[in-house]
Amino acid sequence: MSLDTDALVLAISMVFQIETLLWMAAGIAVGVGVGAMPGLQSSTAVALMLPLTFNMPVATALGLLIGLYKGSVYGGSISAISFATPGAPESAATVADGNALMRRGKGKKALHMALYSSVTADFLSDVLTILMAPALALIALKFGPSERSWVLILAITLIGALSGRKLAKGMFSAVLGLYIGTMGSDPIGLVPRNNFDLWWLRDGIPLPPLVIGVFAMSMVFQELLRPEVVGAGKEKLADVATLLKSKSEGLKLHEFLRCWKEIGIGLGVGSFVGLLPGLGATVGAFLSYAVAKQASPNKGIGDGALEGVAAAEAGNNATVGPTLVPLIAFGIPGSATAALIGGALVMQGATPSPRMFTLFPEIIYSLFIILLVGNVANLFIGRFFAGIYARLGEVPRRYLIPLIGLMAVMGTYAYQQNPYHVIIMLVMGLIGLGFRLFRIPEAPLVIAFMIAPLAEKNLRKAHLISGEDWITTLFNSPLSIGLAAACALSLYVSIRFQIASRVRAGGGTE
Amino acid sequence: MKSILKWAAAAALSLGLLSTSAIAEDYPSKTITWIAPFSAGGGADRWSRTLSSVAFDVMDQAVRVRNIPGASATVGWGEMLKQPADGHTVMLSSPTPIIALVTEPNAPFEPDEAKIVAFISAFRGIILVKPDTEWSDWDSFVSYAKANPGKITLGSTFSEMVGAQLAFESEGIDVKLIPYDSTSDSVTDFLGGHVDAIGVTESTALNMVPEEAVALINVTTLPLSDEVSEKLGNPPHAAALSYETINFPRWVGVHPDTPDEIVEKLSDHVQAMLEQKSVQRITGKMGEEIIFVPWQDAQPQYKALVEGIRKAAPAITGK
Repeated sequence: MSLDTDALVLAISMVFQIETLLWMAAGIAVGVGVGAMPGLQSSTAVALMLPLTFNMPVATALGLLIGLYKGSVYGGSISAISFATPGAPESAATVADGNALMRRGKGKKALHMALYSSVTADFLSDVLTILMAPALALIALKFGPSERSWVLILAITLIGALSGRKLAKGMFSAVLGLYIGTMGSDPIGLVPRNNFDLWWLRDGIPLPPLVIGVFAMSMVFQELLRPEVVGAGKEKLADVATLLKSKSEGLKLHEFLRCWKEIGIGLGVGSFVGLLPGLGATVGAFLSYAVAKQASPNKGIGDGALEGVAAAEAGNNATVGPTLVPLIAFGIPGSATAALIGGALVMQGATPSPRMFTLFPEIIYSLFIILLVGNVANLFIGRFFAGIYARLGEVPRRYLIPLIGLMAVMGTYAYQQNPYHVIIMLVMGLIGLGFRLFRIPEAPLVIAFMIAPLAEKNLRKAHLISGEDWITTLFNSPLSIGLAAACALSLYVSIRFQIASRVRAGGGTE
Repeated sequence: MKSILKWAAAAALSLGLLSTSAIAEDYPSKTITWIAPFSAGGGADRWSRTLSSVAFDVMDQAVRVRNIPGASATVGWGEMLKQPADGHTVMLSSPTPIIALVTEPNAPFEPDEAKIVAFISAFRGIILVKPDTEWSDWDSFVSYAKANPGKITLGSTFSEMVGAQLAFESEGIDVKLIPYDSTSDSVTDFLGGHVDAIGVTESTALNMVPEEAVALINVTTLPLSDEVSEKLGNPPHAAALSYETINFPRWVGVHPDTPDEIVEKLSDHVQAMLEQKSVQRITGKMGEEIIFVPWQDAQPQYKALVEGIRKAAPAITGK
């Protein structure tokens, strides 16, 4: 692919129009709001705004949609940190450390870390996408059902890291997640299973109601059990103006730089996960988080460490650029949002195809420039929102908790306007309450819930493709064999990590 | 006594007919609830909102779109069945819920529990293979599959797999079917060489032929337009080869007990909505094609679709 200078100059003039930049800023601002609202996802925001782009110039349309996408991915972390309510499933990995920091009065630091690590990883993954899209796409194609199964098994071996010292409880959490993940219908034969004869459970349990229930509603239930919250306390809602004027300490440069390793892990893991179809930002976030925890056992990740926020947020944002790789290289969208962006291109008369670089180079370059400029805009707009949201931690909990409950119910319903999802979310809230009371980690449940059905689907596809021969299913290529070896290594490291942490703790385990 | 009863029966029938006619004449007498049984932003939702934008101009009554997704679009369908059979609750759907109802042994209702008002669009199913295979035309594909049963793998979503399986059954060949959740996933595995063939819609085929793929056959009843057929290398048409074929329509339906007079009137209204310039402009921008089939023709085609899905389902689901 050689650089087409004329097309690049044309693309620059298309993007740096006041109209395009304003719509991009509007997209980011709306996206941050949408992302912060539990249940509303980036794909929903893009879908709802798509008709607006019908009569826009192509660069303006892309500016609005990419702005929405980037803003909403960052917005998810705002409510994860401020309310322990992930705005989107991909922010769930941020809750543990982000909200713990918020409760310690370091909300602004956490929000800034989320923003800077998001933007850094997003920017670098975009550069990676721009420089290597065709090569990356070819690498992604090597990963068929068998290879993807091993990647997912590799993720499962990291569940031990997500459990910390609570290995037995972590395994219980993972098994429950696995069971919930099998509810609905089997992915190949469509046979109903584990759905208690409830027809509306045919499609299984979607991720947003589960995440909102386990992380947010469980907290509401727990707070309701506390008399000081239920009772008519005397505290008053602070004057909003005073709240907004109050100052809390922002992130220092050395604190950001201290997390370079975790941001690097997020960038690497997130970019890789983003390339593979069907995995997505949530897997990217949890995997980065687990790898960072494994790699830095002494940094207190999971107990309110900036490093935990950095790893999770870098991991989910690093998937943004690479999910567009299949669209750019082959005209095939790699995610729901990429499909909608592809749809917008079709409506602009630029149908995504492998010939896009030849037929519409100025549009491809515009897309690349918008991806990069969008990060800079996201940084400024995100900082503004971070400043406001950081103060929400100071709102008295007797006001905050009902607000979180309301957001959880409304957000779950808004996800697909399906009232059954609210029931699922409340049940998951009760399960989450049990987890809180017995100090069982939630992350293994979420990661097992997401990964187990994907692993099953890929493994069974590989089995069908191989003519139902298990050896060929599992080891059909050098890549599969290499990944199997990586799984064995990861399991070994995980066991060593567990033993070492028990020894450090004087043999005490939970 | 018998004659009195006959007269009474005749009078009751006339009254019934009269009342149905009278209802049909006034129809629609209030706002129509239009169920899109999928989430906001999807194809059914966009079609519903596009049609609702011109509904008042066409029939002097507004249309209120309600997204009722869930359980492969059958939750929305179930909601329609709970409403009176007066044509004021309408659903716009695709073959997705039919596949769910056919493959589920304890389905809450049958796929014939809807009266079809019209088909408004349809997509065609094309089988693609790699250009460098030794069976890059339909005849050699069939020969190879006959000589090597179960050796060739085809990946696609369930909807597109139905058409492909009917073509395979018509030729008596055994192709291993690999179900995918989305076309993008199956296309990625096809490009990576993990599956030998894929079933895709016409628009996806146009993106991939000729660089990445060769079009083997159009497995749907609808023929390709001359222009598209030429771009795809003039693949054979399954219907022209006398294979069993079906269409994959976007269909509009109402409660199965709705009187025919109301269905006919609604079918005319839907046609009038599709003829509005703004609808044609928006659907064109959506990359969708308006293919209107009125209720009398759509109902037998719908029955054929259900039968086709029933026939292909065991091979697809392995049951």
